[in-house]
This record gives sequence, C-alpha cells and structure tokens, in this order.
Amino acid sequence: MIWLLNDFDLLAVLLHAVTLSLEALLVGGVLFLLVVGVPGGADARALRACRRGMEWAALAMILAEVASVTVESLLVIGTAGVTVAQALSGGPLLAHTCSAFCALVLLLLARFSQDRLRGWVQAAMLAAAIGLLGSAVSLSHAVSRMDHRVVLTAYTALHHVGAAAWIGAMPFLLIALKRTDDIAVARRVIGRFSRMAMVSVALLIGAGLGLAWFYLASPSGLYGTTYGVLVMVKTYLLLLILILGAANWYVAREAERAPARLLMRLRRFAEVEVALGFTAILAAAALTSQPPAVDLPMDRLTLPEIAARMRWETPRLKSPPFAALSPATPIDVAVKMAQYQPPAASDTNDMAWSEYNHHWAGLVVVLAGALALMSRFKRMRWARFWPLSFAGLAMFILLRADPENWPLGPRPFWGSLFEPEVVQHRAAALLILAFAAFECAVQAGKLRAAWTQYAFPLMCAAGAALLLTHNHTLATGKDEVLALMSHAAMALFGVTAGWARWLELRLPKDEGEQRFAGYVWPVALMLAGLVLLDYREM
Amino acid sequence: MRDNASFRQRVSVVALAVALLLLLPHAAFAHAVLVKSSPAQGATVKAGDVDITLTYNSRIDALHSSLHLVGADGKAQTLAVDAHAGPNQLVAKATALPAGAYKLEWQVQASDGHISRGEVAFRVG
Repeated sequence: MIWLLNDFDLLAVLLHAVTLSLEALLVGGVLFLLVVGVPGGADARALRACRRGMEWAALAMILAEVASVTVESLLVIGTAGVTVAQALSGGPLLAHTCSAFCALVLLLLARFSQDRLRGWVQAAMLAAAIGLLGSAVSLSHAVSRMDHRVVLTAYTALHHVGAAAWIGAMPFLLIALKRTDDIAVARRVIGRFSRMAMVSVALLIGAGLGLAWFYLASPSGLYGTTYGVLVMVKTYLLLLILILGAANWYVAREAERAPARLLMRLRRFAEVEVALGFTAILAAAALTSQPPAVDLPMDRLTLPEIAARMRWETPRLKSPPFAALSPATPIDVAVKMAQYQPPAASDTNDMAWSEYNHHWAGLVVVLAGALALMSRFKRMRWARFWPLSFAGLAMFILLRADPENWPLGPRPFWGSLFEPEVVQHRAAALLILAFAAFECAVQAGKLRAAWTQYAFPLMCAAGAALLLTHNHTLATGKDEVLALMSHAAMALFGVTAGWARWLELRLPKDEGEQRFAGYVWPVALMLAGLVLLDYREM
Repeated sequence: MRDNASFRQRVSVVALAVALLLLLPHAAFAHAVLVKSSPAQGATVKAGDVDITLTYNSRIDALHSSLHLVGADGKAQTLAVDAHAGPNQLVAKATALPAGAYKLEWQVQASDGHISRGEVAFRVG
C-alpha cells in the first residue's frame, strides 16, 4: 500500500481537477438551459444537444466521484489504519456521495425530460445544481479554516457560480450555436449569454478578490509563495479570456454585417475561451492542494531573491560525470522515507545535472520554435520538419531525467514508478516521441484527416497546462516557489502557443487574426525554451 | 473503412487522454500545515509519560488521521488519538518513554479531504 501511496496522492489531485471541471460544466449547463436556452427560444434540436452534453458530463461526474471515494478510502485505510466503515464516513466522503447523487439526478432529468422543460424539471435541475455546488464548496479551503469561515465559504460559492455561469456554460453556447440555423435566434441566444457572462465575470472577479484578500493577506503572499504564484497564473489566464471575450462581444455586435462569417469567428474564439477557462480550473485544483499564503508567513521569497534568480546566466551545457552524483537510496528505503519526510537537499553535482538537462531541453525548444517560424517563409519549407528535434528531446528525458533509476541508476524500471515525478517524466518522453512522429507525418502530408492537425495544439496546450501542477521535490519552500515560477512561465507560454496554433488552424484563412496567431505560437514556443534555458537550481 | 477510421480516431483520443492523465503531476501535499507541536521539533522532554499536541492551520478530521511514535530502534507504535481535542489539533499520550531519540510520524486529513504528512523529532532524556 505504501508503495502506491505517492501515486494515489497524485490520483487524488487529478480527480479533484476532474470533479471541479465537471461541476463547472454541469452547473453551467443548467444555468445555460434555464437562463439562456429555454427563455431565449433556442431551437429544440439545440436544447436536445445541450441535454445530451449534460448527460455525458453527469455520467463522467458519477464515475469521477466513485473513483474519488475509492482512492481516498484506500488512502486512509492503508495509511491511517482505519476500518472500511470509518473510511466511508466523514464530511469529505459525504460531499462526494452528495455530488454523485446530484449528478445522477441531472443525468435522469436531462435524459427523460421533454424538449420544452417543464417548471418542475427546471426546479429540480436547479436544486441538483445547488447540491453540486454545495458539495464542491464543502471540499474547499474555506470550510477547513479556523477563522472567517462563513465569509470565505460565501466568497468561494460565488466564485464557483461565476466560473460555472461563464466558463461552464460556454460549451453549451457552442453546442447550441452549431445547431442553430436561424441567425435571429442565434443573436438572441448570444445576447442573453453575454448578459449572463457579464454578471458572472463580475461575481468571479469580485469573489476572487475577496478570497485573495484573506488568503494572500500581503504582497509577499502573492510573489513569495506557491499559492501566490498560482493566483498570478489564474490572473494571466483570466486576462487572456477577457480579451477573447471582449473580441467576441464586438463580433456579436457586428453580427448583422456578415452573420455567417462573424458567427464562425465567434465560435472559434469561444472554443479557446472555454479551453483557457478549464486551464484556469486546473490551476484552481492545484491551488486547493496548497496551503493559503497567509498560513506560511515564514520562508517566503523576497523580491531581490526573485530578481537574482531571474538574472540571465550562461546556460550549463557541460554535464557533471554520472559518478559524481549522490548515490541512489535503495528503493525500499526511499519508499518508506517518502511517506513522512521532505526530500533531502540535492548536492551541487545533482543540481548541475538537473540544470544541464533543463538547458539542453531549452535549446531544443528554442530551435523547434525558430524552425517553425522559418517554415512560414516559402524558401525555408524544409524547416517544417521541426518536430523531429523533439524526438531527440524525448530520448534525452528518458535517459537523463531520473539518474537514480533505470536505465542509468540502480533502481529497476518498474520499482522506479512509485515516484510520480518519474512516472511523469517517462510519460512525457513517450508523449513527446509520439507527438514528434505524428506532427512530422502531418507536415509531410502522410496524415490528411482534418483532426490530425489538432494533435499538436491540443498536446502542447494540455501538456503545458498540466505543467502548472508539476512540483519538483525540492528541499526548501523557497526553491519550490522558484521552480514553480519557472514552470508557470513555461506553462503559460506553452498554453499560449497551443491555443494560438489552434486559432491559426480554425479561423477563416487569410484574415488578420489568423495570420497573427500563426506568428504568435512559434514565438511563444521560443519564449518557453528561453525560460528553460534560464532555469536554475542553485 | 469509415468505421475503421472512426475507431482509430476514438482510440487515439482515448490514448491521448490516458497519456495526459498519467502526466498530471503531483502538487505538494501540504494542505494542513503543522504550525505548533508539543514536544517541539528538536526539544528534549523528561522521561515517563509525554503529552503530545500537534496544532494545524486548519480543521482536521481526527478519525481519519494517524500518529505513530518511532523509537531509535526504528520500531513504530500507533498512538491513540483523542477524538475530543480541538478542531485543529491532534492530541495523544505516549506512556513510560525511556530516554532516547524519538520521532512522531503524523498524517492528517483536513476537513476538505486533503491529506498531509510529516514528522517531529524529539529526545527523551
């Protein structure tokens, strides 16, 4: 059991991210139907499609909650020595069960209600949505606080409502618009959604500021703690979404001029808004597993320390010898130690080894971005095979990322997988290898199906988003914050690159925005590489 | 043929999703933070019965939490946790401790479900 402990911890955070996203989607779906779709007179076909979407989301929520109960119960049974009956009691388990029940109610209502939702169906949907919201809020920081519990719980609930009514409802707007032929109906639906979105943005930001006031408590809480860095990440994503939202608001106002073309642009921007919104929810899930900054008054980063770390230095392109690294702890000892103790401090050679890895990886990413940029010019079409450089990166990660494990170190391949960081590195290497082969085939014209083009933007954006929750197991709090800052910057450039490429592929050809997006993503990729090149552990 | 393409597409999407889920890394699991302990980290206490109080920054669920006392010989004993302690405290008693080095290994579940772990080393002398 202890063997699997770390991976179960990993799974618990993953499931939390999934349930938060599905909560936003389901509550957003209900709000879309009750506030926008039904009163806005959306087509029956569109409403039916929205209900189908809710059915799938509800089913996924039930499965995710069952998995959460299973994982959390196994964790406390295996590590706290409680009985099965004890494990299946308590507030968090009750919240998961309530959430699964509400999702089941929504599934049944969405499945068996008629096209025009009757009054009692609407009331039942609203009640189930409130139940889902309450369950999610009861698993937030607010309920476990010793002070200001009521105020913080209220702010958290409003923050969730704002996120659901904006980000969670938007996929249903896309579903509805895709199935609406009448431009007048589409405009009415967009108008109602815009008004709901404006109120929800105000709620989201207002409640977010309130939470930040209590949880950050000071400027150093923002820049000196992991909690604060993740808040900054959410703020950056919010700004991007607001820019796209403003563009959509403008498009919606101009829709009479050339309805079909402008509606297409609106849908494309909305797709990216949704994706960035769910990236922000992922950052929120990472945030809930961190202690609020106000609880960590000591060991915070100072501005001069951040400036010193950000100062550019020559990348380390010469590796220390493998023999100079700290000897690997036997796997059984490492597993036992990992349960209660923070990791031991790395020595200079270990840190130099890690920096060398990051810097070479940075060079490869800068090269890939530069080649992708060059390939836009007719004389340099050969550069379109830029994904090949990533194949080398994958082999590099596999060989060097975890030197205490197979193939370089003494720990066996399977035994090494007890550590989530190793699992992540190996999965990343495989993904990058698969992506390199895939994108090369697309560039060479061997894969022609439209969906194959989307593999790169999706993998780039999703991989970068997941980087937001990647923590190196470093010995001190300050090092962890600095590492998270690097990861967050890389992640945000990666997310920007992925969705800019998505827009380039999806927007109508040869329009200003489409060409602009085509230059944004290679540059963002190069910037991510530069951050890697400036990564330091000492 | 179309069915095969559709199947391949679905398999690719599922494979991508699984790979990405595998990639979803761990956050630092330090949600409930130990803010005070008695005995304190590195402290020396008198031999005999030792009252233990660990205080956290947030409410915890004592029923789903655990406390182990590990002696210098590496042997661990599970301590019974007081179910009626403060909402943010883990309280227990270790009886008849002889002189030596000890560590408390704790695991707590915060009221919001997150689990944290850590240890406190002290001496009995």
